[in-house]
Amino acid sequence: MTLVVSGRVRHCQMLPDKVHDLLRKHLPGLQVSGLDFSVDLKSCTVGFFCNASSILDYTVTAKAGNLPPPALVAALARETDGLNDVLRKALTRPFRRARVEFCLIEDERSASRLLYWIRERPLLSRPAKFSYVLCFALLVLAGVLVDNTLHQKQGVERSNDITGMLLAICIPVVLLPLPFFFEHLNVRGTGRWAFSRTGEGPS
Amino acid sequence: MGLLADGRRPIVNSASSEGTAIKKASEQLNGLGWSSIREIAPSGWQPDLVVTDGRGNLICMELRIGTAPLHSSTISTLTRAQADLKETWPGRSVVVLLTTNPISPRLQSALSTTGLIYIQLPTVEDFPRAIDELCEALQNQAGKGSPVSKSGIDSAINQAALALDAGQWEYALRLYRDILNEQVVTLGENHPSVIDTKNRLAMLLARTGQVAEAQAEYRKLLDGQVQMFGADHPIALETRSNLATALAQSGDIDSALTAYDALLLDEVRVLGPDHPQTLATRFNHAIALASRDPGPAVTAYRELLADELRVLGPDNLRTLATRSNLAAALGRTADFPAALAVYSELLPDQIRVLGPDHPGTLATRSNIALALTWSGDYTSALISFRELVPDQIRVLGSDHEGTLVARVNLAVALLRAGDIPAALREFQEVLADTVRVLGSDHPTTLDIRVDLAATLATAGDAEAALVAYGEILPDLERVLGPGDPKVALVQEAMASLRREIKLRISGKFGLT
Repeated sequence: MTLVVSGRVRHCQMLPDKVHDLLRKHLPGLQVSGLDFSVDLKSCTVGFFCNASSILDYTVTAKAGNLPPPALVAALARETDGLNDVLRKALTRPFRRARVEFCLIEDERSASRLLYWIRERPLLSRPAKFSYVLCFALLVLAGVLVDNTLHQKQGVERSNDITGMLLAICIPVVLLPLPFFFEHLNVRGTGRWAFSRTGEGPS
Repeated sequence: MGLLADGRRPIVNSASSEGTAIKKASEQLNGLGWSSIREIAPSGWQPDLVVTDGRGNLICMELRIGTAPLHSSTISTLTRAQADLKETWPGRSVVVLLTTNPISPRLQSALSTTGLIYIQLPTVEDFPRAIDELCEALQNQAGKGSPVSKSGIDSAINQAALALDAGQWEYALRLYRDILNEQVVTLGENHPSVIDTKNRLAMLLARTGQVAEAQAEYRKLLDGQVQMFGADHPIALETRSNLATALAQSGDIDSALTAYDALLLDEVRVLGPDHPQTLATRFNHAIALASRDPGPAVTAYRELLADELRVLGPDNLRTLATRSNLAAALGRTADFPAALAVYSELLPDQIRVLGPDHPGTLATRSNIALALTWSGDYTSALISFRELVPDQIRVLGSDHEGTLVARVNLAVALLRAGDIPAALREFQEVLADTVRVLGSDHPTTLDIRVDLAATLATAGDAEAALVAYGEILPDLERVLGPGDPKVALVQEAMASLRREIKLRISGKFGLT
């Protein structure tokens, strides 16, 4: 079983030499070899190739070929996890964040994919989307209630009612998505591994 | 929290369209006279399609359907497979990438040294035309693609790969010089792929007989690399390894061994004793040793194997190659039981890693049968050869030299087992096929004729054997020269047969 990790990072337009210089600051052992350059990590070797001016391909292979498959997967997943962070930090430039476009662990022989990398996007998660729907429903409810109240006789009492209703409904509307926003700030750009049930993954 | 980084859904299933394309391509190739082989995994990679034309030509094809730019890891995998087949497949073998994914100019430039054939097409509907043109280009021994090619098979990169594969060194040299000029513009003077092309040019110089120029080219390349990267950079060390290999291939084994020794010291110091490049140099060093004396090579292979098993693991291709070379070296020292033991342990691992139809696996089966013959276990040897020959006919074709040699070895095993009529029949059949395929002056044909004559002599038909030897002798003298040891052996056998016939006649008529 030959397991390899293939990944791709999108970044702002840069020449390969510039990419090499930026990576070298974070990966001191980086040297010209392989397709473009490569680096030896603790248990893996990473080969890099600047496929286009804004695309960096990388391939991670284990150094030791005699590890049992579970240990091999663990080593590759662990090293790639750190590598993705390093690449994101190294290639992020002002106004253009670098992001891992895809990354997957597959068996080279059968081309069966085992794990793939998914970017954490708390603001687009299902609970977050549910909270947006809830916010919208609350805003509609607030609109209906305020509209009904506006048909009552004008006075201080009506103004107080409207203010009370707006505060009671709009504060939850603002607060509902806040946890997702804080989660977004916390995990911005990071990702996690997901198991590929079908053995396939992103093409 | 569950979307892919690029916003697509996690599972994008292009497998079904790839599966359909593979099925159609397979049917088309079968219609063109190519038959599918399933169990070959060069360098541990399982191609989407493996076909052979039964004349020793092999196509391993990878189909990629998609719209995203092709990932560079595909090229790395196919390049390793190509290198594996170059070493193991006993005929022409091409690794083809057929894709709808766009290939960036940088990646195109980087893969132009690899020897891969790549065809990038806008849609899957264009695949059949590309396959037609590929088969036409492969059957065209001149290595020139279809003049009306629309698939890109006639690109300089593909033409260079085909020329290299067909052994047209002069033509390949010319093409790679042009490729180098373009690569330097796209990738820069010191890019690893550019350096690979320069190494390939030096190799082609050696192949075209310009050995001194090739060595000068390697030295020039090395000087530039030392200036640019320093003497201890892995690229400079790799070029030194290539130079040593060129020395070994030119027959200057002593210089090659000296170069390998110096290189090993530096690699151990710079890369460490367990680095794959250090182990690769030890492997090449052992090969050079074996070409001079198999005895020390056995020790070198054993030491290397222990380290490779520890560092690379038992399934690594280099480890498998070392085990195979160790067994071969043991066979050359006439230690057949030890060789047989190593081959027998190697075979299941090769079947598991490379597949049962891989040429390396078939070669090991052939070597096991040979080792059994030389060890005197003729029954097992015969069983092994009888199982091997149909598989070789299926994979390599009935007319392939490898298959013919296996049939000769089967006949030898029959002879040694004492089944002389069967041996005679097998020799006569294989001789007819060998003359038809290789010609009457081919060394293998001449060897079979000598073996057939010897079998006749063993069968007690001294007159027929003498006639057969008498027919071979002028051909041997003409092809190999009158001073060749084989000529002397035949003359000796003829003299012995004449004495035997004379004695028999004397005995019959009571003469002394």
